[in-house]
Amino acid sequence: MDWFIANASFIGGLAATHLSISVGPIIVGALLAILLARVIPRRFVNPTRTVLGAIYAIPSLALFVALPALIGTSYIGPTNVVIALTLYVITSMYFSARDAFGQVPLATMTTSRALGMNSRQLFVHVELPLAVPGLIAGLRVASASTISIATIGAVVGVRDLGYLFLDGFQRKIPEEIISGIVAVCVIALALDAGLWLIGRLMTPWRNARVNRV
Amino acid sequence: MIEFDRVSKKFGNTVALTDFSLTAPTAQITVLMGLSGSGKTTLIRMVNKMVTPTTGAVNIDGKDVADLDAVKLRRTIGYVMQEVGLLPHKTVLDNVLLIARIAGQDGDTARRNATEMLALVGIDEQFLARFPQQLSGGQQQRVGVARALATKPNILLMDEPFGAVDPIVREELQDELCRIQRDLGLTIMFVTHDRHEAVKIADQLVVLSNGGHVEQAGTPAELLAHPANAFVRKLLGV
Repeated sequence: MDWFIANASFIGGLAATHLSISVGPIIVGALLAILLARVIPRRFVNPTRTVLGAIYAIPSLALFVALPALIGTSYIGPTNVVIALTLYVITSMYFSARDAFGQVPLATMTTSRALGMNSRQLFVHVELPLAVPGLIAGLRVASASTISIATIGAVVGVRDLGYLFLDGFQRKIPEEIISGIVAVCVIALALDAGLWLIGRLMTPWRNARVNRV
Repeated sequence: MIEFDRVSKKFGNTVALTDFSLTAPTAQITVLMGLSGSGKTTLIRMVNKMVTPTTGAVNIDGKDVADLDAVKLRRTIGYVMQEVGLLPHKTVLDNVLLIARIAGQDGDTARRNATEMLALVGIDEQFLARFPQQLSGGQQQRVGVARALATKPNILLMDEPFGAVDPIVREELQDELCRIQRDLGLTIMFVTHDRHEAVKIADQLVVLSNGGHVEQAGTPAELLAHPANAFVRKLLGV
């Protein structure tokens, strides 16, 4: 606790970096995943699943190191980490987005179309709002795992909360490692709570009391 | 007036309809009655271009629907199905309002039409702010009918609309549908497999067998008095 208090502003700085490299990938990755889930035709779903599953299976450190060789970015610095995290968000969110859109009730789709909605109106008024619970659920998983995976960025020189693990381990300061774990958990839980709240505010009908008359 | 002119439909290798012809007169209720596999649902979905005939044509007041834009056409035709399909995330009022709005009605007109139609189907004002799941099945289908009428259509397509509500409520809904049909002069195509419902509401009753073959068509009284064959007798229970 003393260590934590003594180094609070240092940890705060690491946490800020941590958030700044995680939030972008979560938002951009989620939007790209939703886009992919919408535009990939049914017959390409299984190949897409395989490719994304394979990407997700690549260990994060390997991906951080492999990306510069693949796309010519610098070995050190946050760019590789940001790209890799975005890829992970896309891979995990794609599946939940696909399921979320698949769970829109067929009768609701049929009657909405039969009563004159065009495809844009169907998406805005029916598919997207009804997919929100599934999308938020997927986003909560993706956001927690991104915050966690981002710590590995410290190995390739990104000064985020993962630095506390590396430094604490090398210098044998358990307090530093514990502070890192706590800070990562706090950020992950805060984002999760925020997403839960957004989901709740966007789906007031789900909390409506069912009292049939 | 809706005319089916030698309509056939294949889904892949499955033949759903063969050479079906029928006229549903304006401002009358035409009931299509048959067992599953008789192509009833396919037939009414051809009227609003949810299904396209493989051969043959469907004409509304002399115009081939194939020449009409599907989305615009659907905004002039009401559609109700057994599973209701209201938007669970919108209130009762907003469900009806949305359909009026997407059809291009301005805010005031849409609101006036929506509240008028909800009143017409007997939805009390206290329910307007509720979500569909807070209503009983019968009330949900009343809202489903109001929604289908929000664009002030002349034609209403109904696919076993009262199949999932209890018998007492079903009777009420049938009575009210007949009243609304007379008040608004609607041309209704109504699919059912319930013989009591068919006989009760039909102006023209059409008995279909497999593949959309018309076994007999006429007024319910004619069919009951002179069933054309054993199939019609069996289906009508006479």
